[in-house]
Amino acid sequence: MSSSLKRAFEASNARDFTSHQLVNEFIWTNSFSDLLYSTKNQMVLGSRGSGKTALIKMLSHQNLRKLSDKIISNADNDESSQIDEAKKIIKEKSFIATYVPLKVEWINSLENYEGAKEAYFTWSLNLATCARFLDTIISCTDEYIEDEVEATLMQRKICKQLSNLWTLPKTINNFSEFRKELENIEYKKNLIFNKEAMGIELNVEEKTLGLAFHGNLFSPFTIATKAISNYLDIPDSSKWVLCLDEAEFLAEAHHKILNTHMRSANEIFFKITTMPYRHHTLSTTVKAHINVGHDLEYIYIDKLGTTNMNQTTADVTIEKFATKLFENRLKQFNTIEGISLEGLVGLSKLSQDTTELIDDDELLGLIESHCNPATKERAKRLHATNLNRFNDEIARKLRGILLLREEYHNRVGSSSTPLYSGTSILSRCSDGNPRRLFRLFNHLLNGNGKTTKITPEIQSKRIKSFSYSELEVIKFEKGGKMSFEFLQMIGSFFKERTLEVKLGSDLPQAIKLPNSIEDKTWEAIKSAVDLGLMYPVMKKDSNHKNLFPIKEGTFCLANCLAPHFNLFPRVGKAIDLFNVMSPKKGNKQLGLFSET
Amino acid sequence: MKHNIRVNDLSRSEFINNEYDLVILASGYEPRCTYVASLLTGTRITDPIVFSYEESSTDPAQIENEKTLGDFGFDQKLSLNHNEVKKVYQAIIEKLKFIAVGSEPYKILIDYSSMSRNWYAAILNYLFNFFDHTVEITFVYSCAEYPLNSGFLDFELGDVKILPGCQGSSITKSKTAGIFMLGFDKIGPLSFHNLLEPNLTYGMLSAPGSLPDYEQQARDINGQFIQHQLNDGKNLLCSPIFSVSQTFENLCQLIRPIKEEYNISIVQFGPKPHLLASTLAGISFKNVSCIYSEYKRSKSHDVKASGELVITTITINHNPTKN
Amino acid sequence: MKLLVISDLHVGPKARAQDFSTAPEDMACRNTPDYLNEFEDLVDKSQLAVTHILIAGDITQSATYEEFDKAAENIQKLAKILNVEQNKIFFVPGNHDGNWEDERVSIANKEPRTLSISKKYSNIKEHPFFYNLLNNAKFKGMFTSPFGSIWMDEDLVVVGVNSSANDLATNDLHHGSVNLDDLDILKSQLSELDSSGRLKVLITHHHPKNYADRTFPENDCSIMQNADCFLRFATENEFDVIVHGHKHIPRFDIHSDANNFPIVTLSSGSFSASLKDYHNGVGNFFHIIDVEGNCPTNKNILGKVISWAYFDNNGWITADNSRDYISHEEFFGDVRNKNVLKDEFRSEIKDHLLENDYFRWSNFLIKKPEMKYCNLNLRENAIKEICLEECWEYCPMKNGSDFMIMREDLK
Repeated sequence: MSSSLKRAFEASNARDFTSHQLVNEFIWTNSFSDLLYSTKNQMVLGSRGSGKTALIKMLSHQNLRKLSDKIISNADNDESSQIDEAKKIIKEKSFIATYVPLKVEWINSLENYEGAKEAYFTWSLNLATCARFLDTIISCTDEYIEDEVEATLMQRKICKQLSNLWTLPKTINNFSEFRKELENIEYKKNLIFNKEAMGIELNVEEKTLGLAFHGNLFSPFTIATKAISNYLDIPDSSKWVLCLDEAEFLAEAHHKILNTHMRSANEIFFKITTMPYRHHTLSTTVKAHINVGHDLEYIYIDKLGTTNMNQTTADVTIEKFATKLFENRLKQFNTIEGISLEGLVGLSKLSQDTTELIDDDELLGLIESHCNPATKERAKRLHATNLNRFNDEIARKLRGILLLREEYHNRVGSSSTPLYSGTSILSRCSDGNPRRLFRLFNHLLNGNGKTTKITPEIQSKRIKSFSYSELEVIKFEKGGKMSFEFLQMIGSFFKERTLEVKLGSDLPQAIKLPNSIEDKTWEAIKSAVDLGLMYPVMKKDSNHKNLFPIKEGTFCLANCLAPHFNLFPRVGKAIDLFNVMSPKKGNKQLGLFSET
Repeated sequence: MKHNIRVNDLSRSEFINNEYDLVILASGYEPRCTYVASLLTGTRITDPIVFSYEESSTDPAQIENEKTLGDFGFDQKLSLNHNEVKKVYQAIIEKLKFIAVGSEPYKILIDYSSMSRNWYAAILNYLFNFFDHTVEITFVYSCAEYPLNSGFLDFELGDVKILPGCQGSSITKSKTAGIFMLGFDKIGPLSFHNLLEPNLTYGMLSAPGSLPDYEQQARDINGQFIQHQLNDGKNLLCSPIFSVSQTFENLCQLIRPIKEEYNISIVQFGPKPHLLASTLAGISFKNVSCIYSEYKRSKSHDVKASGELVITTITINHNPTKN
Repeated sequence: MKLLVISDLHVGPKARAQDFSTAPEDMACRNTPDYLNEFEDLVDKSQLAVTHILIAGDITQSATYEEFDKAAENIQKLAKILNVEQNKIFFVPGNHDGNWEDERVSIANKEPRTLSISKKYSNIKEHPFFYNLLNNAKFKGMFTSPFGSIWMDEDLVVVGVNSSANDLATNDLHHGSVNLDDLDILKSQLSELDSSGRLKVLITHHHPKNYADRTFPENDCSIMQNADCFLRFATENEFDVIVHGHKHIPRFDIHSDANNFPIVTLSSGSFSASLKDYHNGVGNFFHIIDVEGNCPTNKNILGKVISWAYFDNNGWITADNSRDYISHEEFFGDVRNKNVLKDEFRSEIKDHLLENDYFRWSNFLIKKPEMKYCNLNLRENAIKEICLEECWEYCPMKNGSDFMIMREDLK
């Protein structure tokens, strides 16, 4: 295997590419369309690595521009029309978004300033939005003004006006110096914050540095959008959008401030990303709460936004995505030609829904060995009387699990299973999480291999190692030990159910929370969800006040953990958590007679 | 633009034979807290003070240490929490209030072996940014043997913190470069990498370490990170534990070429002399942030001095301008 | 003609790269295994072409034979990368290229000064590579009075002055020196050669000028003794270029005196010494003096000095004025002073603004291409001053080097 291919999915490799990497590898999903066309403020919720940053970064004017200029050799119809759509948005100036990452470096540094944390938060966030807005302005002038001289004159007008609006110490006429001046202001203001924290008296000049940023949150940004609208002929109907990324660092007090301004800032649309259980509150600093459905809409992007679809459609969507992601990455390397995901890993035996692999007789044999009496009897009956129902209610549900069990029980020595292999199983094990997909691909490709095809045995081995590493990482997150132990417990329970206990037709592989769940257990579940190791089975109405169930509801293990626990990657029936945490006596043994 | 932070390694005898206007020690439960004080019995010290950890003020080991320090002449004590900096600022401002500008450099000695990094960062922050007189600060670290057993390596990460005076320019710089100082924590660097998502990643390893096999241990423990995040080691730099000046210089070499475009976040793991070097970088460069997380260990460990010292003198000239 | 300038290699235990070090496990070089490979990559990527190589001294750290051998190996590899033949390589020894141990012993034995000096150079003299380079000279006198050599080929005359000869091991400060009588001898030797039409290069190791120390505010005591005679020698003999090293800091300037002959003066950065302890992150450097022609009026050379800097893990990058105190490209050749330039710019811009809303520099360059050789700093100052005086506004354009000027009140 060429060394380029081996290193193609390395985390560090991502930085070697040009700034076009995001656009080159971007895959337009339904969630993205949702974000582009909505007329509301939106909260984008997704676990770590689910692609939130890529999504909202892509909304920014400079990236939409790059997308609209993208040239693709073998475009499918979808991709072409997406590029056309981007072109239209840019041309019509209908959607102008600014991407602002909320960085832990400055957010957490506010802790060093007792007593003035909120004032500084507002000041800092205002400066951040204005600094990033500069990128948007530059992108707009590049796009809408061709002539160099005209562009320089426009730059001059805009910078002078902004120097005024943002009360800069001097009037600046070019973007480069403007940026430096903002950096200067940040540095000086930091010194001033420090000085205050030391108990040293500030002079008037120091107190008023960056005065404009001490105003209402988002108002310097809003004022600037109006100025730019004038200069660049941006129609009144255009949407000015502010994308705030990684709001998971924010404390509750910060969220309150944000919520307050989201409610009142009518001229800007907000897109805010965070992890499922880190949107701490809907309350504001005034009496009224923020209204989900009215002020704010949730978008849940885990599993590529397929949680409301049926399983088959969801699986197909994720598989298509995984294949495309794989190919898009490889396109960045000139030296890697003609390798497709299916070519590399083949089809998945485990999820094939046909009788090619194993005919009905063999299947009935497996049912005989592994299922409980009730299921055995029902299977025989249905097979004799109603083949359709047999396929639907028994065969389809159990085929893969039976194969796993059979292989597990008949394994000799240290040979490895070949079953965790093939495009469909690998895609499922990614849970549609792009960063997880990259890690998975990286695991797959690393190791010795001389051909451009990886055998199922080697794939399984590597995916099991990948699966364990996904689990292990949670140990060292803050509070992660509890989550790790919790997941171990759940996983082991389901492993036993899958492999040891006699099967029924509805194998449980999800947990249902009881009414009174312990706080520490709930904390463990929340962490696991935020990190994408558990997923809630969602409420239908995505605009319900609490999109995510709080101390109630059903949760399943992420599919990426299935190989480690020898499970079939699927969402199964839910079982009471109580039963998992304190199983009935006898269940623990390798019993042959336990009930479902 | 002037560079005005000069970092020099110092010999043991120079350090003991110098005279100091102010000496600051830290008192906690570690046995090595008293080691440096024991070496200074013949040294001329005008103003000795001990910063004492309020959190462990009832720990018998700490009480014993403080008694010993008292016997060595360190009876002035300031009790404060490990992350309390306001008291540090107040104490240092008070001490330096009457120093005349233009006279001899003011000499300070700090034993940072067991000292909270917040405290000495706060001191450096004040001296670098708000004090007009030339100071010479000698930092001493007494090496220790760490019990690299599973008990010691069993810790959890706490909150993410930014060192005082080292917040960098993360608001206005659009790109981030991460420099990960690697120690014996396997997952910490990776957690931070996920948190920061830097555009550029570098790593620094202590080589040689304070004991002969520490370098290899650190390489093994951080193997995955080095392979996956540091481009198979190409972005890894080695710096010796025994030279803060060399480490600081290595950091400068990484920082200078990229500081126009990037905000540089130094993630602080690894041995204390490296933490000092990175703190110096955070204080002296405008766009360098220093980030860390406090470990929560299930129990305290016996950390004794091995006798080796790492001694560094930092000279800060007046009329400071940051790089 | 393109002259590569490298200096202060300090091949030895404290070199910054393993392939230049005699102690490859040392912390100074551990992070850089293959320096020449990285240099080659840069040459390929940037298509660097060079006709001659100048080395301004401190080739080794302590002048041992082993170090000279390693240095020779590396210089030859470098020359091969650039396709430069050996007879186009010129050098002077630095203070580190004399073996101080040998010198100390000789001084202690109260041997005659000339013998002590000769002894300290025995290693470099004996080494075949350096011997051959010196042997190519038309006049050979590097290690005995007049402590200088003169080379000449069809394009170039190079005079190398050994400022280190009298810099004794036992000195406190290593400022180097030149002797007036020695300079006279070199002058008369030079006059015997027909150097017309050739570029004239003067190379030495120590500083003939005192540079502001950007790192620490301490006195610079390393300027060579009799520096003004050295500089007078340069202008009287109408050298086009002076190159030196020693302090490891890159600086570009133009030197002129009562002889009114402007000379491009380059203080070379250190190519491969490990720069620790006192620089807060100064890089290593190399430079290329690219001579593009001669001024038709004053005959002085026109061209630019291009500089590259090396940092750990960043490799070779273009030099940057705010970081390195030398720009990536320093143009030279336009010898007009600020007032003359201001007058020219002022009248040009004024006329232009009578009929137009703005003045654009790149259009002006098309009209007057020789403006390119104006020193950037000088030009910027001139422009800024007239803008202030005339209430004009200076407006940089997106592509960094172009700019516009308009009336301040232009809407």
